[in-house]
Amino acid sequence: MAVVFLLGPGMWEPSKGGAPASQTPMDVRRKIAKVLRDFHHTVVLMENEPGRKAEDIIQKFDRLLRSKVTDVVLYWPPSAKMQTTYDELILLYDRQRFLRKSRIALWVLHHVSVAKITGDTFRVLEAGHRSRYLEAIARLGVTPLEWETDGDLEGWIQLLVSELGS
Amino acid sequence: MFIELLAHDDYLRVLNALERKGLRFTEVQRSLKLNPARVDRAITFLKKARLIVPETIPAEKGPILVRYRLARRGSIFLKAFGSFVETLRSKPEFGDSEVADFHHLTK
Repeated sequence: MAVVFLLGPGMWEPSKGGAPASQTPMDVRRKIAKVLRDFHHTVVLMENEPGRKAEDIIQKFDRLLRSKVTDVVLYWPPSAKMQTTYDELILLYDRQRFLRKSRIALWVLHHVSVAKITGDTFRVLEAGHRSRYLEAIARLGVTPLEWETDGDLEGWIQLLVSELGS
Repeated sequence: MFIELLAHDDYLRVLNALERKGLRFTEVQRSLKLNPARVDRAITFLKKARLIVPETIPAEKGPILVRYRLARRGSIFLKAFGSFVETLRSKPEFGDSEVADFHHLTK
């Protein structure tokens, strides 16, 4: 069974518009975590893990990443506040040697507005300089799972259930 | 979903082509001598059916290239389909011409 570090945003960005009021990105990540746990995977969510005394956010990220994680899954919806996730991507990129050495698989559950595969090429659609965060991670070797509807997303979560940790 | 898979030669052939190793879109196109539209249709279907997944190829610079590999579900399907075809092959009483279509699908 896999140990999954599930990253992604927690809130919508009102200025980006189009965000559903019914659930936040954090709610969706918790739902994903529940499905994976139902199939006996261990899921680590940054916000659910208490910090240790005198531990800063980077140390916490390091501790969690090094707690026998087998897979990192990044949930990337449209219209979300991404700053914290960009920070997490930078932390992840900086630890690429550890990721390779520990053979940690990277999965990106991204909305169609975030990135696109055309022929042989993966292209990040995020505007301007923001594209560099996901591009840098994609260059490490990731499995990008593109979704548009809730049904697509559910399909990929089912795939993760069987693929994680393998 | 499996009915649709069996109904399209291209879908099965692309799935088979990925059995040994991951391939890029253009590699699939070349190895099966299919035009891009047919490869695109097959890959779109196989991804939606969760039989294959894309993965980016690690690289420091240049375009970010993608190859496709079998998902576990795709691998399981091919094993099951392979057993089915083997059974057909091992029964000479079925006759070559009657099972030729199935053999073609595994090439």
